[in-house]
Formats: sequence, structure tokens, C-alpha cells
Amino acid sequence: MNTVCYCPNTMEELGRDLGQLTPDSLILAGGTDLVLRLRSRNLLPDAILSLDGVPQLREIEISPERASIGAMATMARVKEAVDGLPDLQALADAAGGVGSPQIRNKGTIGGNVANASAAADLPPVLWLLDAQAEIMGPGGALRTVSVRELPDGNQRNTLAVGEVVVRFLISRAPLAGWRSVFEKLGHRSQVTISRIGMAMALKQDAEGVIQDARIVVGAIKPVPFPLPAAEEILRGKRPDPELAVSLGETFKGNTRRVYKENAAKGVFQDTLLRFQ
Amino acid sequence: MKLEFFVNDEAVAVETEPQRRLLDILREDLGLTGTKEGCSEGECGACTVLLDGLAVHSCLTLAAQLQGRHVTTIEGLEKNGELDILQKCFVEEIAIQCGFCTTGMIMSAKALLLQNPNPTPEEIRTALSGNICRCSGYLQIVNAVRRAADEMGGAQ
Amino acid sequence: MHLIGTDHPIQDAYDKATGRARYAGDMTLPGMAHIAMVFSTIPHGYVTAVDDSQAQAMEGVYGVFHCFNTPEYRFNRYRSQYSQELPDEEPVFARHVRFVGDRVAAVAARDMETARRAAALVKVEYQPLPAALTFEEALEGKNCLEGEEAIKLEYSQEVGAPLPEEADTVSVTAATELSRLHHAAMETHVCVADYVPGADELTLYSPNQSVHGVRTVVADMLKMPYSRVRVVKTTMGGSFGAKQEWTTEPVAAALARLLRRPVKLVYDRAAVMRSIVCRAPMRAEMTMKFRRDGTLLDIHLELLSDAGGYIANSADYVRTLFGKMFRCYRIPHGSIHVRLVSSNTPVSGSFRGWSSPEVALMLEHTMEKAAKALDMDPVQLRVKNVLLPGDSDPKSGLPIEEVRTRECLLRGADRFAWEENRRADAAFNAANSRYRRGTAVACGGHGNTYYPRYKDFAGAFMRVCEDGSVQVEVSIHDHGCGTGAAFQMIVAEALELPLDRVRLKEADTAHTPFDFGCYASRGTFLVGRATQLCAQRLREELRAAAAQKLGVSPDVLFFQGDTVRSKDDPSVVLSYKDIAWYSLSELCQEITAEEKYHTSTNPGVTGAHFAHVEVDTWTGLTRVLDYLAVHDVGQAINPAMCVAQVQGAAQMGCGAALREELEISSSGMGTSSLAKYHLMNAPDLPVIQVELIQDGCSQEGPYGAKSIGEVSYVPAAPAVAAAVNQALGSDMGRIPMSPDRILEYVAKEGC
Repeated sequence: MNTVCYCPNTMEELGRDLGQLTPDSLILAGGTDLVLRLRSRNLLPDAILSLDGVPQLREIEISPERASIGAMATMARVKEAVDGLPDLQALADAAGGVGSPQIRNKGTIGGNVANASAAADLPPVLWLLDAQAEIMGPGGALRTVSVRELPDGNQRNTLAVGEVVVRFLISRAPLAGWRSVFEKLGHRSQVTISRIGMAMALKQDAEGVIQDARIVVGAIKPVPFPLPAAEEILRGKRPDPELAVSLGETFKGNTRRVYKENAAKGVFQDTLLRFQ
Repeated sequence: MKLEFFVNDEAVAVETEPQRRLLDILREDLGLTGTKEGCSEGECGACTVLLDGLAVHSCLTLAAQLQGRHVTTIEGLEKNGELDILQKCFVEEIAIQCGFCTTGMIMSAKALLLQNPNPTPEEIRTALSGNICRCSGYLQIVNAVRRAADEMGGAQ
Repeated sequence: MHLIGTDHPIQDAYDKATGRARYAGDMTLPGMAHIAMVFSTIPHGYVTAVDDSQAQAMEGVYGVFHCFNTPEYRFNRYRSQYSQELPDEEPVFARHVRFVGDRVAAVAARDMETARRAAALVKVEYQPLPAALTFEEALEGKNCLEGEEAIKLEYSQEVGAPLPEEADTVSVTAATELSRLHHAAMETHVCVADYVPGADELTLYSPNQSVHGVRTVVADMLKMPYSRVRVVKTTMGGSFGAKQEWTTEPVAAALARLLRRPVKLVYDRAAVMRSIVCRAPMRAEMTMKFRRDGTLLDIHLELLSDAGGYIANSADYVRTLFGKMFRCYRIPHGSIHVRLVSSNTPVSGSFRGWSSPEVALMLEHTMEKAAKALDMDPVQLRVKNVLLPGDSDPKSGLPIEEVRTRECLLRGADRFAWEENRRADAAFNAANSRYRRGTAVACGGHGNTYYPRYKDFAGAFMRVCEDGSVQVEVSIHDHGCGTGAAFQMIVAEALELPLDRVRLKEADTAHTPFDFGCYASRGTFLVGRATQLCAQRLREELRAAAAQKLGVSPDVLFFQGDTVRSKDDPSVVLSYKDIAWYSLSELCQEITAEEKYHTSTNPGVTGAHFAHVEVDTWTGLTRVLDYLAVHDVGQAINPAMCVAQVQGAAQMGCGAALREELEISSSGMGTSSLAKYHLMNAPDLPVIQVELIQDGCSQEGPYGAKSIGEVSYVPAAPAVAAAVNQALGSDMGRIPMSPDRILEYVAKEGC
């Protein structure tokens, strides 16, 4: 059996080709995860739809009102596009810390989210920033959902057959006055899979006192989760690195891994130091 | 599928399956064996090539992603029998031991210098963070890249 | 000397930089079949059925081979000499599988993709047997069949005589446990086998450390005359011991013979990690006794080692380990009690240093503890106890010769600002709640040949071409560390030729002299010596031919560069070319020389490494801040390559001490991905500083050279591990000191 290759070049062609897909078909974005799955499970798909040829899927538009990031934007380009924007810094941190330069040149934001690995770095950040995912279905119909609704456990997503994320939208108005960062803990300093991924956003007043805080944690459970207890500790205080010890306590009960429970305070401290 | 793309600036057309890896197309179909397979999963960097000027893993790149694109391999660096400055510096700085990581390492370094002609040693180490060398402590490799940057700067 | 001691790239650097260097995996032969393996997915049991019908039916499949349709070829992966009495314990295709990764079947097909897909369609049925995955389970004999013993080898040995107990003897005991390691040579295991049925000739191309070792195993397995089996060593993309035992070669050889066509067998990373070989896990308890003044009196080692699925080299490995214990310190009395078990895990085998690094981790861990118990500076305690010139290796009885361990320690302490660093660490640690720093030292020794355990010898053959250039045939197996360049330098030096006038052929059983192989650090020291002597002999042949041409006594002739001159007649200038051509055309003789050399020494070769680390006690991550290695190498042939090898050893040692570990899951699956086996990458390492001490020359090595490739790895992990313990004030003996283990320690003991 030969595998059919769909290589659409426009959004219209993409919609048409999505209509041809079956449950045995694969959608190919950057390939950095999919190729591994193809080979390790010896998959023989009936069709591969490559998103490579559709220029719109790569587009990144950042305006004061919103960020629109095409699903096929690579990690390297996402990092470059938002690095230095205080509200979106967590996105730059996460994209800039994925894998190696080779992976960042190829791996895409859409692939990272759709692949839905529990250890993925982009999902907690997109959740933190309350991003919406625009999804195209068979025939080209579009629908928009919160990124929170995309994962369905480790390495499973809620997309239907013939559906693909085409872009992510982040409303920046609600983020006015917020700063976000992402820190990860892996086995080495660079090129490492997260054992803890921490996305944190703080809204501070002129004195640096935290008015509001948001925290979403990755790589602990099958899907990212918020940490309201830690947010509560931060409100009304300055981002003092010494708070890390009590913040670390909030991991208790969230993980069965003793290591992760113990290491959480280190990640909290690294994160707080970024707000100094 | 019929794949038409460019390898080392030459137009190439091959009949292939969409899920065939670029690594296999290069090594088996085109006889370009300078690109090496060390881990088959994007962890060691031995298979690094340039795709439209950016370093990527050829073991994680499929035929379906290559239509019309430009691939540069280690074989494409030498011009008219003359080594690329990076290749020369790797030889002269004793940055080569077993050599199995070398071609991928040089391609990652090439990608770096295309974007950043004057990298610091730290930037070089980050650019090479996805390329594993088991023989060395990376120092001669970093030195070779730094020297190549100097010599290329000097040539301008 | 015009060349020895100068820096040169590896001989094939140009080809490696351009991608032209041809590794075995790059070879293609006409009609070649590609092989994909099917490995056992259970740790212990019997293969009861293999359904290969779907695979056989695939277009392009040449055959599927397994224990039910293939003659039972058996071999011993570790045997590398004809005379070694080792059982043929390992079948090419197992019926009784002993670990996840044991070979069950192979698919041969017209291309790799077809072979790989067909292999996935081979269905194997197993009858599982109880498996032993841990030391405890292996000791219990959980995996033993009727009549089998849990302990595969147990013995005690001692060297020297125990000294009478003194009143104030200080006794220190340290427990050390070492994990399985993956060699992680970047080139995976490959063999291309070419079989010519008419002539019944088999040629094997593979990156291996002993062409004659492969030949004896493969020829015996296939019952072929040795002379009809040719083994060619190909460009090797690293070994570190992993290519010292034969796994792909017997399989490819058997399949080529069965298929009557060339085959290519390439293991991918996962297969290498599961199926080839790993460094043995070990558990040790070492007791050292000291006089109050710090003089070492006695060492006893209790050792438990796990051979994994097959015994392979493990019995020899632990025996060798005891010998390696005596290569660094003065030990008046040393004893060992060893037990070896065999679990259902990947097969243990040779690893860079061949038990020297393992015993160094035990020695240096105990030495660190002793320094504290004796309240002595760790450098001074070692200086007080190292072997010195004039001493002998107490186990072998051979003189240790001009060893420079003391100088390595003292120079290193000076260059590393030992005392300042230790003081600064103490101040840093007092002021920090999260990060802790530690500075530590370790030293260790190794050998240069396996003499006197076995007799050891080497040969070399050379010829002068018509143009005066020289062709060398010598059975070296460059692992990628520049043996080839070093040998070209040795020959060019002896003949006063420019480097490019010497051409060297690597090991090929059809052309190069018999040799045991490039392991035991015997390459440069012993084969290099044979090569140097051969070159000198070739020069005498040149002198003799020149004397005939001139009609004078050879005594009046002398060499000046690559010319022969006469003391009696200043106008006489004969080039090598003149002499070679005269010899061929007038004397009807090619100028050649042959050397057969056996060794009678094995001097001490050691090094001291210094590491400065910072431990994040909140995450368990450790950063190596600074690193210095000082080595006693005798005369360095090619110093830059020596330095590069030492730096690589430091890299491996940092990884081994801090994170490298092949873990075995409860189902017997071992780590099989570099995503989970964390090698040191470029941002992980500081500038590794290296100093070579070159005045401790050997009597026998070429130009006074000693070994470097293996010994450089010996003190590396011990130094880093000691630095972590120093940082935490801990006494952890479980290696690697992974983030998880560090946090576990901190949670329990504080810091």
C-alpha cells in the first residue's frame, strides 16, 4: 500500500485535503515528534498531509492588541518574534528552550500543542496567556477553542479526524501590565526534556507588589494545570526569591514523584529571580 | 511522490515515499554519505544539514517536507576543491577525532556563522548544544568555530 | 627529534571534515542485502514459535532467519585469541533468550526500509521464565534453571602479607555502587560481510578493535579455514571498548554465508543500547587501613559484579580489576573477595580503562573518607602513598619505572589553586543556602599492555617504494584518537622523512601482521615500539644497499635527513629514492624490513584530575565549574591528540559521575534512547585544562611514550564524584550522583 501525500499550498487546498483524511492518516507539521512515532510504531499511514507548503500557516503578527501565531511557526521564529515583550516573554522563553537549535528550526508551535506530550513546554505557556486555537476542519470550516481544551491526556488531543490547528491567538489587552516568564528544569542546562515546566505571570504595582498572579505548571500531570495555592501566596507580596520555599510546598499532592516535589522550590526561585 | 528539491544548489528529482527520511534520500538515493546517522531521533546531531540555511536533523525530516526546498550537506561546503574555512579550521585546530560527529558539527557551525558571524564561545556552545561529540571536551571544536569566524571576518 | 612531540591532526582529518571518510555504514556492495534484527522483548524465557509468514511474503525480502530455520551457530563474543578457553555461550539466534535485546531473528531484504518493516511483522511467541533484574534477584538465583548456580564466579586473592595490627591503626570502609554505562560511540555497530561462494571466501568490514580476534571467532563458528576469512578494520567512529567484543560480525558473517550474497548489518542507537554491551554494574565495599601518619597499610575489597545476560568478559574483567588496584598507590597488602552474578539485563563488557576506572572509583571514594578520618589534606594523603620511581607493581612484580604521580598531584594542586579554591568554597558554602561548591582531586593508574598477565608481542612490516617513500603494514585499529597519525610520526621520525612520505595501512588480516588488537592501551606502547624498531631496521637495510652501491663498508655511511652520506667522501649524497631504485634494478631486491617484538615491561602510567563543582541543593543539578587533568604520559608522540583524548575522558567522567546510567525497568527494558541517557553537551562543560608531564619516559615505549587513551579516563569520574561529596559534606557512593540521588540525600541528611 502506498502512502498518499497531500501537499496543499493554500488555505483552500488545505481545507479540501483535510476532507480526504481518515483515522489512519497523519498530519505532518515540523516532524520532530511525528517521525519518531512513525518509526517506533512502524506506522504505515494511508495518507500524509504536509503543512509545509501553506505560507499563511507560518505567519506571525504581533500588534499591541493581539498576537496571531501561525501553527507552522517554528520555535526559533516564535522566540524571535516575542522575545522582549514583557507580557509574552514566557512564550519566548518556552519556545527558545525547546530541544536543540535543530529542533527549534523545525519544530512548530502547532505541532508542540497538537502532539500534546505531557512534557511539552508550549502548552502551559499558551494556557497561562489564555490563548485561543483556531482550528480548520474538513472542507475548510474554522472554529476557535481555548488551548485548554486541546489536550486529552498525555499524547492525545481533542481534534477530530481531518482537523488541524491553523493558528493561535492571544489577546494582549487583558495582559496589559503583566509580565510573564517560563522556566524549566531538565536533566541538563540545554537540550533537555522538562521535568518541571513553570509558566508564571505577575501583575505588579509601581512598588513591585504583586497585585495578581497566574501560574500554570507543565510536565507534572498528563496536561498542564494551574496552581491557585501558589498564586495566593504571591498576591500582595514582592517577588522575593525566599518565597520559593513556601511556594514549593504547593506542589505537594500534585505529583507522586518525590524528586519533582522537592525540586519545585528551585524552579520557583529561578522563576522569581526573573522578576527581580 | 515525485520530489523535486535542491541539494547543494543542484536540482534533484526523485521518486520516493512521502515518509522517507531526508537522511536516507541523501545517503542511499543520492550517495551523499557524509551525513551520518548516530541516534535516529534528533538527539545527537550527527545528521545535521541545512534546510534553507537553517540547521535541521535530516533524520527527522521527511520527503513530504522538502518540495522545492534547498538542502545543503557537508559535500556542498567545499567549493572547487577548496575547503570551507570551517572545514579547514576543524582540521587545523585538531577538532576532529573519530569524525563521526564532525560533519554534523560543521553544519551546525555553518548555520551559526550564517546568522551570527561573530559569536562568543558561549554562543558557539549553545549553537552546538544539539551536537554530541563523545571523543573530546568540545574545546577544540569551539576554538575551530571561533577561528573560522575570525578568518571569515578577516577576509571581508 | 623533528616530529615527535609536535602537534598533528588525525591522519584522516581532511576526509572526515569533507564527509569523504568511508565508515562501514557508508559501504555498498553489488547485490547487498540489508539486515534488520528482531530482538527479544522479554528478559528471560524460551522462544516457542516464530511466525515469519507475513515478513517472508513482503516484496523484496530475501529471507527471515531464526533458531527454528537456521543452523545453530554459537560463539563467544569476548574471545579474541585462539588460545582462550571460553565457552561458545552465545547463539547467533537465541531460543533461550536471556535479556531484552537478545537476538531472536533477522530479516534480509533488498533495502533497509523493507527489512525494517518486515522485521516489525515477525511475530515471536515466548514462554517466559522467572527473570533476575537486580543484584538481589540474581543473588537469590531467581533466574537459575535446574542445576545452575546463582554465583557464576567466586574467588579470593591477596597480594603481599598482612602487617601485624598496630595499636593506632585507622580503618576506613566505604561502599561504592556503580551503574551500567553506555559507551555512546557516535558511530553505531556495523558490519558488512561479503561472501564469495565459489572461492568460499568471506570478507568482513567492520570498525573493530581486533581483526584477528574477529577472525578466530567467526572462522571457528563457521568452521572455515582462517586463511579464507579476511577481516578489515574500517574507519571507526569511536569505540571506548564497545567494539572490542564481537556482536554484529558473527551475525553478518553467518547471514552472508546463508544468503550467499553480501550483507550489511547496521544497528541503530536503540539496538546498540539494548543489545550490544554496557559497562558492568558493580557493588563494592572497600576497607583501607592506615597508620596514624597516613601511611596506607592494607586494602580489602568486597566486590559484587553483574555480567548481565551472558558471562562474556565479566570473569576476566573482575580478575583484572584486582590487578588494576595496584597501579597507583603503595599497597603492602591487598586482598579481594569477588562474586559474579548473571542477571537478565544487557551484557556487561569492556569499557575504556577495563576496570581501572571502576576500581579507582572505589579507591578514591575510600581515600576521601580516609582523608577526613585522618584529618589530612586529600592531596597530601595521596602524595604520601603513591608509587614512586624504584617501586614495583606488587601484583605483577614489574618495575613501575619513572612514574610521575606525585608530580601530577603537586603540579595540579598548584595550577588548580587547590588551597585557595577549598577556602573559597568554604566561604561560599557558609554564605549560601541553595548552592554548594566543592573542589576535589582523584588519581589513578593503568597499564600499557596486558603483559605479564599474558605474553604480549607485536609485528610490523615496511617497504621503501621506488620514489623513496615508505609503506607501513601494521595491525593498528585507530578508534578515532589518532593512532594512525602517531604511527606515521614514529616512522617518519626514525627515517627522518616528512610525514607525507609515510603511508600506513591499518589492520587487515589479508595484509598486516598478526596482532591481538588495539586494547589494553598496548597500541602506541607496544605496537608502536615494534614499528619504531622496524623503521630503524629499514634504515639499516637502506644503509646496507647504499654501501653495496658505493662499494664501501656500511660503517663509513651515515644519515643526514633522508639521505645517506659518507664520512670519507663529502660529495656522496644518496637519497632514499636513489638507493631504492638501485636495490630494485641492480640487486633485484625490494628494500623491506620486518620486526617481531615482544615486551618485557609495563611501566606505571597515571594521572591526577581536579574538579571544582557547584551543586544546586534545591534541584540536584550539578555544574562543573572548572577542571584540570595532569597526566604522566612519558614522551607525548602527538601532544595535541593526547590533550584532546584527555579532554574527552574528562567529558565522559563528568557524565559518568553525574548522570549517565542505563536503567532497567521492572519489565527488563533498558534505557534505549539518548533522550534518556544524558550525555554531556557543549554548554555543560567548562574549558577542560590539561597538562602533560613528559619527563617520566618509559624504557620500552617508542621514544619513551606511555599510554594515554584509557588512563585519562581513570581519575575523571572519581574526581567529580569527590567534588560533589566535598560540596555537600556527604559520603555518597552511588554513582552517578544524579539530581534525584542528590535531592534524596539532601532531603534525608540535609547539607
